Amino acid sequence: MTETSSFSQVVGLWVGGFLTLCVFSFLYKDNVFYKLAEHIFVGVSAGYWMCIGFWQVLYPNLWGKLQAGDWRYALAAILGLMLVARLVPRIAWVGRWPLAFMVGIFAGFNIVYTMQAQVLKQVEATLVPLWGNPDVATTLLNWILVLGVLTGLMYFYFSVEHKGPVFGTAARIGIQVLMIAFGAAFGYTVMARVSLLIGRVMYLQDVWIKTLEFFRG
Amino acid sequence: MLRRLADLDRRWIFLVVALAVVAPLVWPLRLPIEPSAPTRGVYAAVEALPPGALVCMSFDYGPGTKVECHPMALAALRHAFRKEAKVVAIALWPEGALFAREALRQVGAEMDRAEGLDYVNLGYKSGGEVVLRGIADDFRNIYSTDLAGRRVDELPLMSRVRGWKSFDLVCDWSMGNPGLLQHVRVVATQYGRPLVAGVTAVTAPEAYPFLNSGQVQGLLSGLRGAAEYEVMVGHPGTATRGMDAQSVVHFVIAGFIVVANLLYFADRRERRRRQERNR
Amino acid sequence: MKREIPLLITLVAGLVMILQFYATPLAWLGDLFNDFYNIILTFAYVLGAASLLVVNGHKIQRQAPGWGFNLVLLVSLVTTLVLGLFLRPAGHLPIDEGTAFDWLFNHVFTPLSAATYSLLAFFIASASFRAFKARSIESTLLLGTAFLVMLFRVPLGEALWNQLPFLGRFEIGVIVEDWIMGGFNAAGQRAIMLGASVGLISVSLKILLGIERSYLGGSE
Repeated sequence: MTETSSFSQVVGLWVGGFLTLCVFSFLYKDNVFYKLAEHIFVGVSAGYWMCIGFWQVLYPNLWGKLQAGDWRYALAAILGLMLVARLVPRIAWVGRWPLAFMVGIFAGFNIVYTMQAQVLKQVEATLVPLWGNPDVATTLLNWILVLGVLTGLMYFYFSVEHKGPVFGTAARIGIQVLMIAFGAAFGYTVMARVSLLIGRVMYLQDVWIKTLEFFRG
Repeated sequence: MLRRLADLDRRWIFLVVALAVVAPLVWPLRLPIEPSAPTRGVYAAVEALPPGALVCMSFDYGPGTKVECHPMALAALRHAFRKEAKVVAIALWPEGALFAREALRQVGAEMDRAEGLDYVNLGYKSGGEVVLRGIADDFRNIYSTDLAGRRVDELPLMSRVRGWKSFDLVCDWSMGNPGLLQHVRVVATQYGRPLVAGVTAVTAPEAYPFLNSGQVQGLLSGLRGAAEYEVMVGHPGTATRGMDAQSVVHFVIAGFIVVANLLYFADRRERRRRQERNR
Repeated sequence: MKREIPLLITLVAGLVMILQFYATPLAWLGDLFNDFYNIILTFAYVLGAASLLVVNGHKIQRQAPGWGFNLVLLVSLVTTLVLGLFLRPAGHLPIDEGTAFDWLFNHVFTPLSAATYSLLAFFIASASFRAFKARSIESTLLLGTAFLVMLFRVPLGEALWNQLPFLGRFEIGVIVEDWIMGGFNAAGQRAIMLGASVGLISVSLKILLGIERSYLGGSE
């Protein structure tokens, strides 16, 4: 909740409230106020990201290092400027070097981290006992997990036709498991979107409340 | 009439949804909120912290998802400070750095905690996973200053902080990518640090495999998760306030789906009858 | 050479990041590359802002339809840059608490971003009414699960369930959380994750080996 301790805060709340209503006006139909809010948003976001990026990364991590005499970072600055050169069509090709560098790092990370965290660990977690558990619920859940993962993977294996008593049945079970997962995901997506709206309505509610509090002193 | 209902102008639907949100906020239902097992996992992880423990909190969310993630962060800060833990905040999203500042200031003032001694906000660095990997054995690889530009070595709390292994617990408040996945890959899996997370409801279903595998010890899912945690910490806030509206809107949307399906089945039956008559 | 050198850069960068996990003497190089990545990515924000200036500047110059809005965009961008880069109160950074930039963040950027996202709630309600039909077994399963999650992961649903004569004895929260989310959902999501991860590793390998070159773009 934003604390209203000054006039600029109150003005700010009303500006924020007005801009929020401009965005909501789109629900009736597209209009000048919505377009205004949309364009302000794009301009401010781009500016915001650049300012934070400058003070949080370029200033300490680049300028700070260069000032301390670490001239290796001049290479980072050069690569960064080469990226910005993409704006000039004649020399846009130089932007490939820093892009290639970033893609290479990302690809290298993905090979190790994905294998470690998302393949090996997940497979390990699927190797659970299917009998001999302390209670029936755990056994049932383990069966759901193991069968669900196996049949789900079999559904995604398209090199073999999904036919026959074994593969066909497994793929059919697999799609049912996936549908349950997607249904859960949809339910949670609805929850998320509604929460965002609740947040905005609470904000508008607070604009009124805080303004009244300010004028009451 | 059925056809008119099926072709309903969507603005009527928007109006009903808006009323369904506003009404419970004006006239609250104050329904009880029962914490779920994943939320209890987060609570237990923070509750188990010894006095003076070091906690890293990563604020990986933006304004669009602040309503879900910020209450989680506030509740966790209150809980952590109550346990006399020290907090180091980082952010993988630019907006997260400023939200971390807002949260730390608010809870720090409430619970009389001092910046530099009890908490530090190192701010934002770009690169997601690359940042987490870069921290490795020394935060100073990536962070030479905090959000306000003060040198890291001037902050007393940072004398205890080296790399990921310095932390007793890592918390991630995340809205997407970069966020939970990156923390699981680097912090939990490579460095073996206990990790708890609060994620938006959209990303929550994808987090369950990590909860199941033990890579994440506890999980707060969306506004509901935030409300559950607020209740457990004993400080109901905006998330708890929002759950009444959440309840009503969910039932309204479920109602829309039921009506739409009834219309669909009625229409399908009508079309079948017409086909049979034409034969 | 315009494509060969970038391919070599990709291979070297990727190999260093893989090998530094296994060869600790390479850790310093890994750390350096990490920092470089950080810095170069931030230049991309500069590229983004500059690109907006160029594109919108052209539209204003040509007085294209709706150029007034492009002017608003440019003014917003330039104002944010001025406040965030140059307006520095004594002893503070421009992005510190209480600055004009901070005011802009709290009262313009945050409300606009949040409001734009919140429109989705209305559209998901409208889309649910129009498109979410139980046409087949699979869609019925999806719909049924969504119903259970939507209705019983909220306090009102739980309160109503607890009033039911026989079913109320079973904790609906446990059914949804442990069996649906922790059981079927976890299994399905894990299957998707395993498949996607293997695909991602394969694509990453192809990128490092220069087989996958689409990220270089263009024909030059």
